[in-house]
Amino acid sequence: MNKLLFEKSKILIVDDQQANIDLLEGFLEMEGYQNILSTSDPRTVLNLYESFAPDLILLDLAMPYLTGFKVMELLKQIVSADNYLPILVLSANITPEAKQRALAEGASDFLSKPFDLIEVGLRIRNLLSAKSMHQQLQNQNVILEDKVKERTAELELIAIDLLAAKERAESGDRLKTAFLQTISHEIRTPMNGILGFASLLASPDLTEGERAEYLELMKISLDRLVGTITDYVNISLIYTDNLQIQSQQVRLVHLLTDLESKFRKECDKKGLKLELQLPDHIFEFLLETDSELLRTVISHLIANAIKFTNKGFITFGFEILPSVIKIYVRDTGIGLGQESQQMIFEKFMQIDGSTTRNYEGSGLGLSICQGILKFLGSGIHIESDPDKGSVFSFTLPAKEYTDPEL
Amino acid sequence: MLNSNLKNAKILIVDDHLVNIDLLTGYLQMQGFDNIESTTDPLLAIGLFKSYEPDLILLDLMMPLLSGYDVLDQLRPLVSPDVYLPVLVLTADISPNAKQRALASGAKDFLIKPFDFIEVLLRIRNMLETRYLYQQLEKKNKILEEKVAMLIKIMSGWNK
Repeated sequence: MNKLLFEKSKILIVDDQQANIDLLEGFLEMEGYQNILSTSDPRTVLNLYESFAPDLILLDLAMPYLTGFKVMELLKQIVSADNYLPILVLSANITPEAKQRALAEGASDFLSKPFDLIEVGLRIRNLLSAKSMHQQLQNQNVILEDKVKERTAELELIAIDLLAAKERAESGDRLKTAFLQTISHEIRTPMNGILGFASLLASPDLTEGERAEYLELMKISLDRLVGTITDYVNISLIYTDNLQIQSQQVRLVHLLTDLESKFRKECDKKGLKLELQLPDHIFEFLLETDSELLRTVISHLIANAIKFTNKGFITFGFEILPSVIKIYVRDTGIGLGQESQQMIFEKFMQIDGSTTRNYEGSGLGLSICQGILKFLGSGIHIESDPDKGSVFSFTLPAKEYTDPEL
Repeated sequence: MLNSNLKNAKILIVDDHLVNIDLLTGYLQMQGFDNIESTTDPLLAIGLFKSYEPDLILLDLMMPLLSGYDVLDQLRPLVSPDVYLPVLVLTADISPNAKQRALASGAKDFLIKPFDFIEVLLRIRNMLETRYLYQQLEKKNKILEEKVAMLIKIMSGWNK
């Protein structure tokens, strides 16, 4: 048993002889006990029990006003049944009858006067040991409850995590299924066009005009198929961390102008206005990056804008900011709600949902953009309002500030 | 009257005087203790301790061949520190030296000869009660630890 534990134990001494109190107090203090309270008036014991809450009482039997027997009888009434209160009776020349009576009233043990200090020490230690066991057993239940509560809380947290993980896994599953269906659809559609026109071309009765038209339509389908396959190759390179970056000097204005002419026709067809905006007095801007990947990202953003805009205009271009340039594509399309803005960045999410089913394409565009930009050390920023349009932008480090004459 | 925990407690008495053993055994049986084993040969004490596994030992100090102190010395290495095994020393020698020596050897308390039977009873009762509480506490701790270990095992399985 821990010595320190005993030293903190609270001992109440009740003896009408001050000499006995002094002797016991002196001895117990010498033994290291720190919490000792004494009274020579037995009538104060009940109050002291309440206020001091002793672990052990040393009780004289023969006292004026109240005998030790009476004190024990009164204590018995106020000490709750589950509280173990050892009482060590101090007695001189005690008769067997008196001992029996003391035992019956609740005495735990006796110390005969004159005191043998060895016995005083060991008997007090033994009773405090029993008291301490009792206390610990009672505490056990409280500790047990606390621990169970603690563990339950931990388990609940884990359960929440598990549910979230399950949710994610299930939604990932759904998305993968949808993804495969989209792949299948996006490959079959242009293949049907190619096969269909190929068999039509075999017909001997075609005019030159029809033949040229069919070939043109076949080429559109082929372009779309190549585009789709390129998307899938890109996305798998991105997700398997195999995308290779070939940094070179890129003429940004040249690249953007090229893209403008590439998408011009498609916009005209949809009745959309396409405009390239350049910063004032800038005729060319040199960037150190992967030209093909940059082209892919901006192409996807423009294609996306065209896809989701039915009237109005699409403007794109760049702004020169301190040490970076910001490339943007703005549209007046259907826009995105807050929730959708977050969702489109999740893997496979962009191909799910009813929206894309009304529009052509693999639906992987944004995912590819985000993936590529991550490799380039950047990311897509979206500002969007449903029904008002969106601005998709990203920044790239611009080490070199270009001579406008170039 | 004794509760069942105390009633079933195993008590080993070691005293070279048969009359003391008879006296204690008779009194304790009268008080309701059912499991009492005894020997007048201190050389058998350790063997009996091993085979009988008592909850309490009443040990005479003054015995031929092997004193109570010697028995205590032999006993000490056999009792692990987290086991509460009370030994009550029976002695007529009430000199402070004798008491100090017995306490230092591991005795928990004394019974002075000639026996005061009320003290015999209450001291045995106190010792056995403390042992019982101690065992309960150990048991609960063990159960608690097992439960916690089980929970941790389950939880670590979930984390994988």
